[in-house]
Amino acid sequence: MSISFIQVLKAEFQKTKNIWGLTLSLLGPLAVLLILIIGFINQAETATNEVNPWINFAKYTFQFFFFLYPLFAALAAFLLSNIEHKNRGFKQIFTLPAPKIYFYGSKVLILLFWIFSSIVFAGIVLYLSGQLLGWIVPAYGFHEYNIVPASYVFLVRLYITLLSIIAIHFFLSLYWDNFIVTVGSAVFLLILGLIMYGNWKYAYLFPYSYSIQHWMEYNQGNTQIWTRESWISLFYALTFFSAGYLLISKKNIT
Amino acid sequence: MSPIIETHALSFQYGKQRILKDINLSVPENSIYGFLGPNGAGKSTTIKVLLGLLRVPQKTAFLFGKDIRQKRIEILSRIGNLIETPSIYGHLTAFDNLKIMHTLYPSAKSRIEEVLELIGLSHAAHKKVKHFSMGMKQRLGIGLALFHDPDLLVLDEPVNGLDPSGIHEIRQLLLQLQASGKTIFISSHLLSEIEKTCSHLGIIKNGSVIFQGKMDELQSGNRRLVKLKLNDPAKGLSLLPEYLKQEASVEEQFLHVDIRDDQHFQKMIQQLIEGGLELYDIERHSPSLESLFMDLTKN
Repeated sequence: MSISFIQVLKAEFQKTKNIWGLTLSLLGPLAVLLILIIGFINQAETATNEVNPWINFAKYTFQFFFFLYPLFAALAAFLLSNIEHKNRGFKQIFTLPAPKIYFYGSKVLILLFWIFSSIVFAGIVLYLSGQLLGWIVPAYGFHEYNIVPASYVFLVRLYITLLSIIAIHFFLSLYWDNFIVTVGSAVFLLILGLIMYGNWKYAYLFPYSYSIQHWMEYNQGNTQIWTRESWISLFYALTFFSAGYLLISKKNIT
Repeated sequence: MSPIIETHALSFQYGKQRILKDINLSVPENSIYGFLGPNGAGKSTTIKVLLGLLRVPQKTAFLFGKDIRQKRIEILSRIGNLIETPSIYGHLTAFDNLKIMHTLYPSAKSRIEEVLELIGLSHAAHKKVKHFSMGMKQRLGIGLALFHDPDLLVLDEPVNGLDPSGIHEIRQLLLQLQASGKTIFISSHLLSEIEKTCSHLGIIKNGSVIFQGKMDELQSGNRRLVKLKLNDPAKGLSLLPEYLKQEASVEEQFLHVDIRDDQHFQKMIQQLIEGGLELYDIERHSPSLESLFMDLTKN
């Protein structure tokens, strides 16, 4: 009697109960938008409805997101693999009658779903926050204009650029059970990415530059989803997810 | 009846260090097989090999007559295991941990309560496992291993951290499982527990098996302690040959001698009688597993 992929996926979801990282990835965007709502209310006397307020509101929001989301991605990857490291779970799951790819694949799907749902949630909260500001400070004119579709395009491309970071940090956290190595390195590499962007001609190969680049391009009105960096991000994601599986499949439990 | 576990010249090495050297194990069906050895002898490594956690060459490790390298999934579906510290999720409750097993091994919903009852954790079912004592975690580990009603249980130090009554309960549980037809492969440092529970024994030292067989085969060897009631035990001690004197002592009216060979016994009696001593009684004691183990594993 072997175990099916769906059973493994369900079991892996059950393990994520009470993991605060998932809550954090939902609370993060909520906190950002709360700060912005307060900021917009404080600036109410300068409110004008001559231009679409959604444009600026989204711009300020994404200014936080381009830095926060790569960190969320690294944190989520760490927390998910830490469930097994912390509880010595690898020896348990590798003695269950199912191929190792089922466990690995389930974890990858859950990780991708976590970040995806956080981004969808961020999109919903962005819309609701604008609506709320429309009620609180009507002078901004949030109810007179529609949210610009480019805001949603930004979120879709953000997700694609994050795929590489998710895969790299999932690989690192499978190898090292160490918060500093896996999440600390994300902070360092992201700062390096900010420095590299615009200063190094090969920055397009460095995935930690993508989110800043994406935000800059969004400000310049570039709303393309599929750019050279999106494809490279997908390439990194495939490479590191495959490497992660190789790492797991060859892992000796000592 | 073919053995449930069988290894043929099983060897394993980490880097250049050879941990297992040509091990030939044979664990009969429906036995409780105690696997003993000093620290670092290779017990846990053997268990990990049997569970497919460490890769060994093909045709060296067989379970249920099948090669672990070729039929890993099929074999694992019939095994429940607990290796060293249990793999349980501390951020979840005992009930949630068993629910994960229930998802993996669908069965009647009542199975979760049934197992909680069996391991004596019904009262703590909804408490987070990170707040459990070592003994409670160990019980839950055993519960997880038992959940899918496996044919073979592989347990590495299952009574770690349990109090005497907990140890007694686990012993009863293992005997009960054996009575229901299961085979149990158990490694433990508690020799008295192994002695009370196991029907078969394997002893490993420096990566090699130095004894394998039924428990009573080990205990019914030539070695025994004899207690002789003599009119002058001190004189009796002085009459013993040198090789027996080292293992002999006098307590009150009795002379205690550790006999390792039938010839030794015959020689000793002859010398005592020829020395003019009167022999009133002889009591024979089988040595404990502990002393046999110490004897076998000492350098």
